[in-house]
Amino acid sequence: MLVPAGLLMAAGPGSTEKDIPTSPTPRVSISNVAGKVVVKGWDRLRIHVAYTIVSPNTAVDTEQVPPQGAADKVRFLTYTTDRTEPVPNPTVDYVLQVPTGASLEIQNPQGSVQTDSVRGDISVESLGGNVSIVDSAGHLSIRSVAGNIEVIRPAGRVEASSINGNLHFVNSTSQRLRGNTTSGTILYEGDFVPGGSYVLSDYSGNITILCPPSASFELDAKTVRGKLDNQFPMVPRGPKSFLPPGNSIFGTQGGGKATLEVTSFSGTIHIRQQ
Amino acid sequence: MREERQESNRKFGCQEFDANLAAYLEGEENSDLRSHAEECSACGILLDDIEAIRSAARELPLESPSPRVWSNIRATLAQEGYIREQESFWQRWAGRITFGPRMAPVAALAFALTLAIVLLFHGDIQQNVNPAPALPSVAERATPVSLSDVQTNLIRTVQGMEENYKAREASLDPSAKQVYAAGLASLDSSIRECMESLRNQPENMLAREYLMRAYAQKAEVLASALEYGGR
Amino acid sequence: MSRQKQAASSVATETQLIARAQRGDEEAFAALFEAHKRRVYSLCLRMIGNPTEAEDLTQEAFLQLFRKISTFRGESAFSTWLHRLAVNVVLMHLRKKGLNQISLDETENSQGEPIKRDYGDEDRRLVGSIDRIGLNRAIAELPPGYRTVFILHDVEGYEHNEIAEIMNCSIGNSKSQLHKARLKLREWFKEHQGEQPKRSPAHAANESKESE
Repeated sequence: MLVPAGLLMAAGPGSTEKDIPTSPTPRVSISNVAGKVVVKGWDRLRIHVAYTIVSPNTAVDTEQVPPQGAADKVRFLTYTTDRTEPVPNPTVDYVLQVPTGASLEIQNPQGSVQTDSVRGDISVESLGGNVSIVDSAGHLSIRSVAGNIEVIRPAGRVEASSINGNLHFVNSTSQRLRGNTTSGTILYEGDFVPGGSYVLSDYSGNITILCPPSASFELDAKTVRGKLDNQFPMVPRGPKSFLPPGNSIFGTQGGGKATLEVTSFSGTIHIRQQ
Repeated sequence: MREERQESNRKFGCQEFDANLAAYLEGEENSDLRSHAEECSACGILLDDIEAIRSAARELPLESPSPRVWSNIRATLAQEGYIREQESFWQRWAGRITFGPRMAPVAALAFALTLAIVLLFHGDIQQNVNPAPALPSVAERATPVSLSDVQTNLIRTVQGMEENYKAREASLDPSAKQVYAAGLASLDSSIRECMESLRNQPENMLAREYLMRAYAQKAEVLASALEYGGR
Repeated sequence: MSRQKQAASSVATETQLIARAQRGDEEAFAALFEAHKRRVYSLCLRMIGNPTEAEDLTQEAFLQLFRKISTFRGESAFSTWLHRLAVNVVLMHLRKKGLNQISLDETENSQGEPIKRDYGDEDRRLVGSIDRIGLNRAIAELPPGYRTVFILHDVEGYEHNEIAEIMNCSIGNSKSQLHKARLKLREWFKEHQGEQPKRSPAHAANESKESE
């Protein structure tokens, strides 16, 4: 859903607002350290940015290519102004509105990232902050160490990876979705697209799949030490030899139109009907 | 409408049709057969029916086997020595990691995470084709797990990075340090468990995959931490 | 690119892949598998009817192929070689299961018999009433020899000379078996015309809830 201009955060003290005309599909990059980054798609051919500098000795540099006219590339960079006493976590809060066709590259190690209705490719790198991507259509690539990752209604390819964070996927229409976490949990809610390929993997957390009774998928689920809890009446398939040690289910459900690979080392894998 | 069977004294009747049908379907021109099919409803229907079957057969879709089939083929080929070890992401990656501030921390993380994702999702894990001298685990020096040269190299690289990281840990920003520490702790825990699994079940491919994935991810986190601390 | 050029180019690529596989290149094995897996699996599935067994057989066929790949000299097309292996693997499997095989070189007595015809009305044409599920069922009920030739020719698109090489029979045999297979299939459809399309156990899993 696009945010009407009127709801945009007004620039307060320490806040700056800018408008940058762009092409319909600009590449926008934000290199921040801490603070919030919020990006929403709209139907105008310009970027409207409002940023608030929170930490001292911190500034934002804006670059665009080409320098005049409608920009194809725009970059926002957070940096420390005092080299003698660098700020440990330069903190800036960004709120941007970008053309829906924009692609995004966002680095925000200590802060959170949210995007909504941006339909180009999106790449997000975070350390500790949570990431939330809503209504994307392009290739999504999200990496975090501790942050939770939430992806709602993606239509393009998805690759999401965290070490300690949880992954949450809702109502994906993506043809190809990959999610990986080490100690976090994975929750996948929604149906599977015919011909789609889904790979969900974690180490010790639980993986829960909640899909409609009419879902159609071929399942490869395996764990080394964990348990498997499956509510679907699958048709078993798979070769009789080469069963890996641990618990596994290889089955076809409802025609097997999508492929679903779910792996956990010691977590429990739940496959349940919505 | 009933059609009487054509008399056998007609020049080209149903019997001739039968005798020539196979060849006609193979592409041999036969105007008599065609004319007969137009005149004789029973033969015409027969011809149409066969064409319908052929047409339907052509449109039958190809089915795909599950990913399992390739995994098993690959595992068997590797076990039997048909797959040669070659320089892979592992070797290229291990050669590329440096300890100085070069890439921005998040770029290092990105690179390493890309690697981990590729390894994870494309199964580019070297199998234990040439049993190399076993490397004791990080946590315990108990029964060693047998690893390939490439896997051993990675583990040694990670150990080096960890020593480097410990030397610089104090200078890290506290909140970043906490995140890194928690990430490393999770990965160490998974490494220990995988090693234990492999000691009990050396043929457990899944545990081996998890083990190498954990090391790759640990390398990423350490690389990122080293870069972050170097700013 | 013209079709001939395309074909030539893909043969060249395949030749490179085979050479790399012969040197133990894993990616080359994977690429060869990827290129041929669907045809081999579909062939096995239609011959056997059971997806689990078909996967086992697909696996076995590729393994046999890859183990022997160093002996491939390019005397025949790679895919022909692979399909021959696959067909042999399937036939061996059927033999082990104790199913009667019709040798392709047996001549049948039915040569002189008139083909059954429908002297009823035109509404009983099969055109438009052959669905995928029915066809799969019908194929599954063919005797193995007919089934193999029909699948290779009408489903997979092999020519009779290629089938003769794959099945180690004469071209004439391949043609006659094909013709008989088609007639038998027609008989099957005539017998089952008007039935609700039932699902064969083999394909129910793959084809349920197909939308028209």
